[in-house]
Amino acid sequence: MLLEADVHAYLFLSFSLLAVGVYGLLSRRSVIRMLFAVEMIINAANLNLAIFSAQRNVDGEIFAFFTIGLAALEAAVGLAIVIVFYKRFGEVIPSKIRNLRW
Amino acid sequence: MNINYLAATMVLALTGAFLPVINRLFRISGIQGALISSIGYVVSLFLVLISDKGKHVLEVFYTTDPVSILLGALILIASWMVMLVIYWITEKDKFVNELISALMISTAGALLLISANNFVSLAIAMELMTMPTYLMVLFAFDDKSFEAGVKYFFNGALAVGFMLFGISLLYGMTGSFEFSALVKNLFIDPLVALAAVFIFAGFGFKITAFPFHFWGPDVYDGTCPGVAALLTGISKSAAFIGLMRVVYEAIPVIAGHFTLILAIIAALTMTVGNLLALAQRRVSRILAYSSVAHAGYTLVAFAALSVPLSVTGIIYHSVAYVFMKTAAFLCFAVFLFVWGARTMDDYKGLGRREPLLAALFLIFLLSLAGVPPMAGFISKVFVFTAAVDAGMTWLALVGLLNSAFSVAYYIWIAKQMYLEEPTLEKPINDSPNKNWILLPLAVMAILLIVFGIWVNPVVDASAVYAAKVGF
Amino acid sequence: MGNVYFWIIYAVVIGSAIIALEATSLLWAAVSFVVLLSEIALVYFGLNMPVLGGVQLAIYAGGVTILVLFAIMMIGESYKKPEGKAVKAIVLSLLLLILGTFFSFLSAIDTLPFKTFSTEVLGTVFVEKYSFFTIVLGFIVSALLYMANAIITKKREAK
Repeated sequence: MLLEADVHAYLFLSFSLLAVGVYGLLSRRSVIRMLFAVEMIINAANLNLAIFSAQRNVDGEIFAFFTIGLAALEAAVGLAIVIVFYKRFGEVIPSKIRNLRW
Repeated sequence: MNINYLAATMVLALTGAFLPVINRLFRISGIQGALISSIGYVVSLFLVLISDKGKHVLEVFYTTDPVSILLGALILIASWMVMLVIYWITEKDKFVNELISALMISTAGALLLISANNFVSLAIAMELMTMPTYLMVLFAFDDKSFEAGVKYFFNGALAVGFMLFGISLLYGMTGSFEFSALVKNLFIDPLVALAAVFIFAGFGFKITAFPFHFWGPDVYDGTCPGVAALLTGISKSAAFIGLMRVVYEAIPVIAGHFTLILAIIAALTMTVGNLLALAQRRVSRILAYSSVAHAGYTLVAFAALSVPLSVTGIIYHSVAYVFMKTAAFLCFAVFLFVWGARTMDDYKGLGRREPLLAALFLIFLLSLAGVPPMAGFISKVFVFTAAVDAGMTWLALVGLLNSAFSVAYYIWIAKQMYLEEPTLEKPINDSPNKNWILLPLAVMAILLIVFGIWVNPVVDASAVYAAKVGF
Repeated sequence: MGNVYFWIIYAVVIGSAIIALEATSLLWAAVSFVVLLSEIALVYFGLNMPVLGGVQLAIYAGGVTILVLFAIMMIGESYKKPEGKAVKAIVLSLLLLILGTFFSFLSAIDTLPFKTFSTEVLGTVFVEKYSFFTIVLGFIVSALLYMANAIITKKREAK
């Protein structure tokens, strides 16, 4: 198998992807970057599920299928909300809009 | 899961899924739509109430115990009343059937969430409950709804991400998703603690606990109040029962070490909610901050998780909360529709203009404040007694202090309604069949008073659950 | 602790993630996002899970990327990055990373031998145990479609 590594190395990979995603979501550069960050966090969780499933049983892989589907739906909903927001306000940077008190 | 409970969920979701189709085919009016949905709700309610007899299916994923039957029936009744009020309020909107369809599917997700026995079904049921609400928040198509939608979406997506990450770590430790396997195989370990923190952070977004509550007031205030009633009453109660199942059935070994942190979070949530509510002018923001504070009261019961009385506290507070918060927002919605009353000044003198509606609103406000004989009082009694039993008397004292604070702003609204001169001259939408709307609100008020006096069903259900969990 | 291929893939994943968040041009951010998702699918292929890798490529690198591209086309390239560094976000994410790695080394989790599941086993477990959730996903999709239709028509009529 090409990618056999220690489980600690794999956990480091998924934790760093989670860290990058949390940074992207909390720094609020623009709503499209925040959407990227959400997808990164969910992919980090899926990586975890796949790693542990490859060592144990097949349930994790099946849950990863469902999670991928649900995350894609969530991305679609998020993009719909972002587009409606943009068409009304003409701006995608959250901190520039007056009433958004996060 | 019992076959009848599953059938109830499926009937509700199918009625919701076919309602817009029927609307396209037959061009039904508002009252006919309400009738068709009510038939779906009645059939679902009947099937939930006979859920203790019958075959068991899907035992790996869902369970049907007295807690899920009781909460399921009450969530169905509350959601039914929300549907009736939304039909009455939005009589000129063309897309109210789609909103009600999303409402019914979200309620079906709440029914699945409160009976979930496995992390897979928990995550998927939580997604089913919250996905329709992401788009329902945008329904009143104005600026505040857009901002509320963006905030709610990103906070909800972060919550789902954290929860999935925590679930994947727990799967890595034990190799299984089921709560029964987790409770046997988990041990105290740093990674399990981190996973528990992630899962609690995920749930904490949904229940507006302290560091994650910032989206709450803006979203509940910005969206239309019927949707806010669904979000804060039904979604939050179902999330509390889901969290109860996770904490008591899946991770009790590690959750026992987190009681001090849970107590601090509960105290902070209550204080932030109550103190900020005192500074608000708009009634919907007061109700929104008070829902943050009520999440704090339930978290007090979570902090006391070493005693069996905390189970009763959590379930009783969820039962009371489903009705009182939903009904408070629905009363606000009716006042907003008929009189256009938004701020405290607009509420002056409404007690004389609308005696029956104001009396019902007063009942709900008193229940939120914790005044006997309503269910809000007895639920707070159970929660604070559980905190004292677990040795956290300081937490019970903080809770009682916060209850006293909250009485201030509830009685202030009541004073505006009854003891002041009216400022609004005439109603905006004075429709002739105005008294029909009192029926759903009166049903919820009667149920609040009944559950405030007759404690047996909730206490029995929680005793069965506490025995199952191993107290 | 992991052969050199693993660390190359690690570098590509984290590099493309950071570029997707920080690039000024929205087009290059989207390209980097696609690279990220495809690299993760490569990890799945490397773990001998071709079905999961295929699903990841099809849904994410296919579907979600097209959605993001449509959104970028509608929003356009005029995007100025707000100034200042988000200090709190960097601190929190680094704290999360260090805490997570530290705990994973302290923890009793261990590396079991890697197994390969045949597609037949995967399909059997899926159909026998998890088939109920496809109905649930169907309900989610139907609720989203109804509400999206309502919102699109409201948007069109609001003009």
